[in-house]
Amino acid sequence: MNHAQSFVDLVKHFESLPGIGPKSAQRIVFHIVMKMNPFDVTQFANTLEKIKETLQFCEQCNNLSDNRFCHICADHQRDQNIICVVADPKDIAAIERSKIFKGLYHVLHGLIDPMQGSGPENLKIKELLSRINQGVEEIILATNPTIEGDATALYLAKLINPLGIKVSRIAHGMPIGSELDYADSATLSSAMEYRRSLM
Amino acid sequence: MNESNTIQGIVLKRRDFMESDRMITLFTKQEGVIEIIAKGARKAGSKLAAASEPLFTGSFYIAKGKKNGYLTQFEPGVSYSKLRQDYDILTHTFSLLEIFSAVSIPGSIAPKCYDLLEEALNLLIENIPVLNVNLWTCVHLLELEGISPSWIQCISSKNILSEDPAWFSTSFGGYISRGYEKEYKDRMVIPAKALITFFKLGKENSPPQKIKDAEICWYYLAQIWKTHAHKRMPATESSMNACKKAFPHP
Repeated sequence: MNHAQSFVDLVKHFESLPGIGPKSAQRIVFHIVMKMNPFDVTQFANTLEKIKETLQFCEQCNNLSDNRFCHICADHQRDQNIICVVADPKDIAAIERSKIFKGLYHVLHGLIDPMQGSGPENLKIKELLSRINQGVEEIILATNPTIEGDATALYLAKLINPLGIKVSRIAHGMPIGSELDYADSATLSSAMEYRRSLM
Repeated sequence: MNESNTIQGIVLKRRDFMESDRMITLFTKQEGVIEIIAKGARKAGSKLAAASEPLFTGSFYIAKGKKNGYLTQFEPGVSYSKLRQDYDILTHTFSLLEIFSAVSIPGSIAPKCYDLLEEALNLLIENIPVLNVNLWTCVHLLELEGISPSWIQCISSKNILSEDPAWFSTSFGGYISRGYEKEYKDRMVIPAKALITFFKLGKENSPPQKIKDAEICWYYLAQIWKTHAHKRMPATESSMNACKKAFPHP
């Protein structure tokens, strides 16, 4: 790359981020150098510097938060009796976009993945159990429909079921608006297996 | 990989690759273990997502690229989704896949090993206890790989097993009778009942419905496999830890 060293260094930093390849990294750095004014660049740099210091995990649900409790746990309008268990904070953002769920969350910070040596002891399961003991009516297991997501959901169901609390798992099957003709056979067979009655 | 672009296989494992792809380790009857890429398999709604899951079996349509094969379509075979409905079964099944993955050399064709894994998975969905299936399968896999130890005859003195617990050396090939153990540095102690079980299982054409102390037997057989594999086997360790709860710490 025939550029100044400082330019190359910054490109390398952007390249190391997920989803950004060499061309995109160059484009971003060109944008910063050529189009952004010095004040915006300073603000951007300050925000970047601060984020690691100020951002923490919510003491209740382990979501990302600027305070001790995240905006969801701090919202007393939400249903305190239902907890939706997810693997990562980004899953909360995905479910919140649907605007359908009004309960609380619990972030496990990973999934049980025996092939990679990640067991239940690596997840925030103890914290979930202590929340359950404080009085909860339903736990929704919203882990990915992958083999690791299923293993985690099964493990949690095995732990929670004896406590007499309702445990449910998010459904999987045909995507809304899709056509049967174009669906892959594995998804279709899963949709048939987990079909529900209408009456 | 030859020119044929349709292949029967079982997904042993997969890992995330690039931004939204998956690298699948596929165990095939015709070509042994191969690695193929499922483009965009991590994206929601991807048609290739299901086929990139461990335990998926079926026909894989593969397009040959410059360096890698790319999964383009698939046709599911037997569904092993039942195995994903019980945590303990899943834990031990992961271990079985890991053991097959550890011994399979990429490019080396092993149709009998493939048939053995397929048979084991079919037995698991027929409600044969998972540890019994794992024990039977892994004893037979040792035979197929040509590394089956001498379970009850001493590798030094040729004496027949007569003490409990007994000395055993995985790398030197089997049971060591008392007095000869000092010659073998990698020796370990194994209960005699486990060695007798392994010996009997080697003669069985299918796993029995009942195996006494299957947890203890699996703990030691998995240990033998770990020594053979010469690499970290996290799923097998999880499976062994699950078994360890069922008997006093050895």
